[in-house]
Amino acid sequence: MTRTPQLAAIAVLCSLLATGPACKSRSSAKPETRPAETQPPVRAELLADVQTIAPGRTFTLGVMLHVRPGWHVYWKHPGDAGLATQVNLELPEGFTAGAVRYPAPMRFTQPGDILGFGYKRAVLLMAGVKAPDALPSTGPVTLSADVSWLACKERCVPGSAKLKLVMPVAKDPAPSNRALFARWRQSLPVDAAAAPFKVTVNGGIRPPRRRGDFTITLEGAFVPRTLEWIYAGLDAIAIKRVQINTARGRGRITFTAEVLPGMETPPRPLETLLVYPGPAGLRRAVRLYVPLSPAKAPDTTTNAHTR
Amino acid sequence: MNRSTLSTALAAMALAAGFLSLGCEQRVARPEKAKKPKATTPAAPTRPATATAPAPTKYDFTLTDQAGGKVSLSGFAGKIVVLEWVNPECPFVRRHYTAGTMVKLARRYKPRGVTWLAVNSTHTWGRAKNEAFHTEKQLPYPVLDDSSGKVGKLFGAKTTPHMFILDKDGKLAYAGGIDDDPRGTKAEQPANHVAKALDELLAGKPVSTPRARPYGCSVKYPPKPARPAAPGP
Repeated sequence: MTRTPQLAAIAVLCSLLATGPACKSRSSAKPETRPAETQPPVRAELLADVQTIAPGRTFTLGVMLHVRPGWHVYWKHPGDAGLATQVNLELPEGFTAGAVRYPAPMRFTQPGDILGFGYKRAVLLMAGVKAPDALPSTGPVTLSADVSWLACKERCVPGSAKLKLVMPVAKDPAPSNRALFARWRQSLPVDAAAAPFKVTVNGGIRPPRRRGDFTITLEGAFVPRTLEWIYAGLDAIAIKRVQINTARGRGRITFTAEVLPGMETPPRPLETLLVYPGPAGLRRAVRLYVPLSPAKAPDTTTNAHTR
Repeated sequence: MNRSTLSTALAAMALAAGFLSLGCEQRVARPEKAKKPKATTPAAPTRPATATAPAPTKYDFTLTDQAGGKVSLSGFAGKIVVLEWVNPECPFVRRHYTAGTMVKLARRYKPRGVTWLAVNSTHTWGRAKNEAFHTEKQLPYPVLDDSSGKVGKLFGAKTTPHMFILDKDGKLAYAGGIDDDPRGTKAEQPANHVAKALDELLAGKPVSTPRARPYGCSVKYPPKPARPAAPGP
């Protein structure tokens, strides 16, 4: 096939779909002027929890995704299908940033028992940023973020945006978007050691067996009645037979982990989230690492690691 | 077309002769017969009733291809079969068809006796739309109508694309993604799991990566009956 028909085909696809795979969308905070049906499913903007940048101080950058009703985007591990939402920050010389933090996702299944982890309506992905002690000039600073996602409803549309935020420099930072950041911070996972209930993990894949049964137990007065269990995909492992039971003061999650043919039991633990509704309907999450090989030490040490 | 069929038959016979020493159950190699006349696509070969019965396999199905012909997996017993789950509306699939990933692979391995079948389990698609896609892309392999989702669920197909390779004994030799590059952003050539597995199978070696994470859009199986009908795309 020659180049020209290929380019023509891509051009046609681009004109039919606002965000096709061959053309990157350039979403910004500008309002859409096209009719509703042709609006892209996701609009992205870059926000900060300060109005100004103070030398040597830390603040939080947030990539806000507004997702149209009926559509969803994915968590950092999408599940059985989909594509992780990715953020890459581009910061000026001297600025440092922590890892991007993802609020507690939803768990959904699509026909055929296809499992997905992601967000509907909106999500604020956050990263801590530290300004250098000495800024090269007193002029405004430009912070950039590249974000890419896959939005799905009955069909899937990839999208991306190059976002910019220009902020003036001042000695003391004034807060901004306080309520918004406070709301989304509540949905960031907390370590198991800091959970409002006690969590213990039992089980393991004991060689030469290639499969093992696991039990996660929650105890305490604040064990939630509604509980979802979300986990990061591991290439070598299939998670099966997940069962969740909650009663007053006690919760139990059981599952089986199987090592896939040709693979080995991963040395790293499985990263999972216990997700439950909190006050004002905001989702809360506890991060729980599940070692897949039988633990040599009490599992509390694994889950005391802060990330 | 006749030349291609003859060379495929010769390759099949050569492979059969080569593997006889391994003691595998073998069908009697015969020249493939076209099930019905087709301009562009090699049809499913019919196996004579007197041939040696194949080893019982976990997988079998009969689906309708884009031209309306019936294609049975049992008709390919004794051959390496690649099954490609496809949905032409999915951006991952579109990226690969723009790059020609699957078509190039299918063409490369066909002379070595590998059968390539595309399976479309998208519940809103059917034979007519499969035919339009097949014609537009000038595919060298059939597109099978699995709009009921039965075969997708038999294999556990989750994404489009999702690749399955059955060895000559009909056993699952590989299941997973086409390569290790879901975003299509790798600067170097991504590791193609299917090409590697096929090279190993054809060389009589064990498949070193029998599973890899599949990526893509979810297979669009029919919605559950209890839910209200979703609005059309």
